[in-house]
Amino acid sequence: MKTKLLKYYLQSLQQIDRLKLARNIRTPLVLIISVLVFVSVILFFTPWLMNQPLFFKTQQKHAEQKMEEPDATMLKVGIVLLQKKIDRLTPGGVYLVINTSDNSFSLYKNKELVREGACSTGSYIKLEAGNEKSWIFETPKGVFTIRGKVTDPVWRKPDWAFVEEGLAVPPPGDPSRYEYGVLGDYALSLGDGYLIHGTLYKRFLGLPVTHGCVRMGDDDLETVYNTLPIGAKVFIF
Amino acid sequence: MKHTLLKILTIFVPVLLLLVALQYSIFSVLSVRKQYQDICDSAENNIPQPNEEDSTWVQLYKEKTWLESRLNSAKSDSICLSINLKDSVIQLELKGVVLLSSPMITYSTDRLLKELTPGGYHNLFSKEVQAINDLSTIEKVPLIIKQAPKDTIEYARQSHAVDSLPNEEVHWLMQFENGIELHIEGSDSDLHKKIWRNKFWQKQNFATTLAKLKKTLRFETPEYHPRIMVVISKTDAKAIYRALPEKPLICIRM
Repeated sequence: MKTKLLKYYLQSLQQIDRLKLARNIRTPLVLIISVLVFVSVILFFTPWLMNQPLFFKTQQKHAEQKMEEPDATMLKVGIVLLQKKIDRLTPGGVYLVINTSDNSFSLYKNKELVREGACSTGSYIKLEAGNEKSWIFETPKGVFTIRGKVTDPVWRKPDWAFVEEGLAVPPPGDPSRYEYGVLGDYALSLGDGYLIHGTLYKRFLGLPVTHGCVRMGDDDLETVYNTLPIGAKVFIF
Repeated sequence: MKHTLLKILTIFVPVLLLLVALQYSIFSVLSVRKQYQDICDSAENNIPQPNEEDSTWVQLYKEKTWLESRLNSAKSDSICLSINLKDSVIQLELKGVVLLSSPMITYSTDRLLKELTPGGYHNLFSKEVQAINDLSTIEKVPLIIKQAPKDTIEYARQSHAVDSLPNEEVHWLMQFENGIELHIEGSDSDLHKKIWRNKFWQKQNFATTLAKLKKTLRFETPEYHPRIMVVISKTDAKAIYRALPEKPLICIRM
């Protein structure tokens, strides 16, 4: 078989000679064709071959010990129970889901989507101060609960708010630390200083621009404030 | 002399390349067969093998294991990924709550995964698996380093405007502890056939092929990782990748 193939190959070479192709063209031509065939086998033929059902069918005969179909009643009962368990994991009341990548939120009530819209979340800016201090403006991910709700919130500016603007950091309790009217009409606390609040910069809704808090538009914020009670779950991803 | 050398070269090189290609093909097929054998042989013996390949029992069994694995992963405090190929949906879940549900635009899997025996299916998918590493065109945490201004004048000079999100290419892959590779392509295009022909995937394919070729040249059976290739919207692909922790738990339903 091998000798036959070799003979055939040599004959083909002679045919090329017969075509009066210059001898110095023949070698590169043969080499190029060989490389092309090689690449095709590696990149196309082998992956195709690896996906042929033939190889698996042959093996299945050895691997399996066929039998009659077992009774599926217990499986059906098990599935119903498991499905119920999974369904129970989703809060039955109200909860909020915040997508920090897309900067959007979805509000659910009785497992139904009742409102969705744009919000703003952490900018992922790492602010580095000269004194080896740094802050990462990131909205934390995970499950949170609404810990508190306030109307007409006042922003108590943390150190980074001054450092970021090139200002000297005032002592705690200094009047310059308090800013009124910048957080909108409502704020819901998620703990650790993170809030869901309003914004003056509505054009940035849908963009990651905050220092970690979640900003919403006025109408969305009002709905969220009125819908979510203290203790309601907030899922951030 | 030169003529003889050329003649030898014309015969020797093609024959050598053909032999190497043949060797590569044989070892590649062997690697698939070996993997298949390993998966199906190490499966628990008490999994029945009904006569019909797609029997009701098998379907129900798959559904049960799918729910069990999702329930187990709900015990974790981290965000998990559920890949439901039966319904063509990929979901982000946290404590059993679906955070994001993204319909698959299209998907494909290697033949090995389609040809699994119930025992083999049990071995691969009956429990949630952990991802062991990943590779992506986007950063997990898109950190922007900014130096604090020295004074208000420097602050005024800095740029603060953020008008839009960068339009990034989103392709990522994850390798699971059971050897499966998940390829996610973020695309809003409906040109499915051309979707996987971008630089990122070509680079991965080239690296895999090269590694396999090196192994086969040493007469070793190369590693084979069955692939699940899914196309979802770019926004969802980005959101899912960034939401998942370093080594997330994954549930798969075929």
